[in-house]
Amino acid sequence: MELVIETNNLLKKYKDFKAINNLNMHLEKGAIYGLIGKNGAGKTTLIRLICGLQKPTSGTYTLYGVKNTDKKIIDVRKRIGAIIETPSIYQNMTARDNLIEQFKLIGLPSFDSINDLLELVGLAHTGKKKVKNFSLGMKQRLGIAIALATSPDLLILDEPINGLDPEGIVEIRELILNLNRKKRITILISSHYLDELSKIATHYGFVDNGQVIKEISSDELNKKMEQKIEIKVNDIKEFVKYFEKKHYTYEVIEPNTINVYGKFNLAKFISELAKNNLVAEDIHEKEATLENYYLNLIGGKNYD
Amino acid sequence: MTRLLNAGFMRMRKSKVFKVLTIFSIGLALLIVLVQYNEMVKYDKVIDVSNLAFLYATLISIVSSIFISLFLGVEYSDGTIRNKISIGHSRINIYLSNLILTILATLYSYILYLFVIIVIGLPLFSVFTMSIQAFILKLAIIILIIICECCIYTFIAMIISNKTMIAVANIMTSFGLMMFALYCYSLLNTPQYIDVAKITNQETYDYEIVKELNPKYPTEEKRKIYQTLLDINPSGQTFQLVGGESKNIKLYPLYATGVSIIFICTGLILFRKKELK
Repeated sequence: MELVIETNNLLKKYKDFKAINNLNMHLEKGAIYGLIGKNGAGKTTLIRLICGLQKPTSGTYTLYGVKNTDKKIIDVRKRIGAIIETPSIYQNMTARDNLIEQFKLIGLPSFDSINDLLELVGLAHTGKKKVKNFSLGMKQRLGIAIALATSPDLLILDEPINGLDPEGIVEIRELILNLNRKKRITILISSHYLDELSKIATHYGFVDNGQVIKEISSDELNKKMEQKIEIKVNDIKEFVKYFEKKHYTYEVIEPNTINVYGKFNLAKFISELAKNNLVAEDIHEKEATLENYYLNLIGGKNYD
Repeated sequence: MTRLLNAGFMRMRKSKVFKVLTIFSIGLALLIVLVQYNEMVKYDKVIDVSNLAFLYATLISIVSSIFISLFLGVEYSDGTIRNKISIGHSRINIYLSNLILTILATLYSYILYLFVIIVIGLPLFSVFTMSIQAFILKLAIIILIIICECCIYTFIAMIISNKTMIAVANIMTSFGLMMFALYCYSLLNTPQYIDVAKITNQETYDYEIVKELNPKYPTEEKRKIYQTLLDINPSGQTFQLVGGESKNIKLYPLYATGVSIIFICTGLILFRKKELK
């Protein structure tokens, strides 16, 4: 699989503070990569480095196979569209003028596709309205339209749904999915809205203290997030034998802990185990959400 | 670079600040013509259009500092400078294109003023004492001074990332340069001798006026330093040019170019290293 972004022990220090601390991440072509982490975890700093706004203290990254130290990186950046924190738009101009400005910056001779872009992001009706009078959602959508003006292969969105109302969130979600599926644009998206991310991301990178502590595909994650029962036992072998015999999906996560995946009635499950002389020390159901997975990951500091 | 300039010109055309600059330049020229016309009519004064043509030069430093702060400050406040970098424009090109834009806008403002003064003032006052050659030479030096001032204010605007801070720093710098020029100017104009009244008869209080060496008169060495500082300072050059007391006029282009190069090079080095948010 072709990698669009790959970082290698990336480090970014502000005086003594390590905002990015030997970070390694891998973004595959065609993916929607959700970057998850609390405030100050290093998500935006990582995006700033990738977009060339700041230089890494040490370590490297590659964009489409070109190293950041290579002079060709400037040309590769032309394949990227990005919104970093807030959309880069002139507040005193109309949506159309902002796009003309962007087209001129890119060097496109014709402005014909501006209408299509405005249509795509649902801003075709804004006419002479200045951007400063737009709602937050409209500004975000215009930011995306500007980022799309370069016909990018990679779209980087930093907190694109921050401050949006539910309707705005749905619009941005639909837009992102559309761009990924129809235009085959690879997307790197950072967000605090985990539920929203779980609706669109194909891959996740969990960031904590400046490091990507876990990279996982949504398929793998979904498996892990299946409804499960966690059992603490003394003699794990007997349980494993039984689950094998019954063809249950299970995972030994610690020497004395087993997760059994699937929908179970807890009371019936306990009595089934008792009938087979299997006594657990502790047994309980675990709710499975991306949020819980994230919290367990960050809180547990067990990154495997 | 061409793309950046194209986009910059479009933004300038749409910019309110640029429209205000245009109106101000025309308005100032009209005001000066009107005031001078009143002087001519009331006091029968002879108004020399060649002098009026350079009056704006003393003020344009402040005007350009404000224009540059507001025009370039938007790049940071609206975050558009990030976009230029992330779509693959080099920092050197971004800096230089912004510098070219601000120089052209400031020169446009001056030329617009000059145009109004000449087109309206010349038929109205009919006096132009300066030779065309001298006029062009003075104008050329003023253009160099304007470019030098733009280099300084663009440097400040590109290095500071906060629009308000840019405005404060630029306006303070423009006033600072003017104040420093006036300070040097006044020191250099300190009279060498002062009149002192000496009592010759204590009873009748008769006195005589004698000339004594002024203790505040700078030594020859200090005078050289003050004169050099005045000549290097773009505001100092302007004051001397407009006041008709340019002692080292031949050095002005050299100093203006030197200061411009220093600010461009330092600005490029710092902007390349600048961490953007």
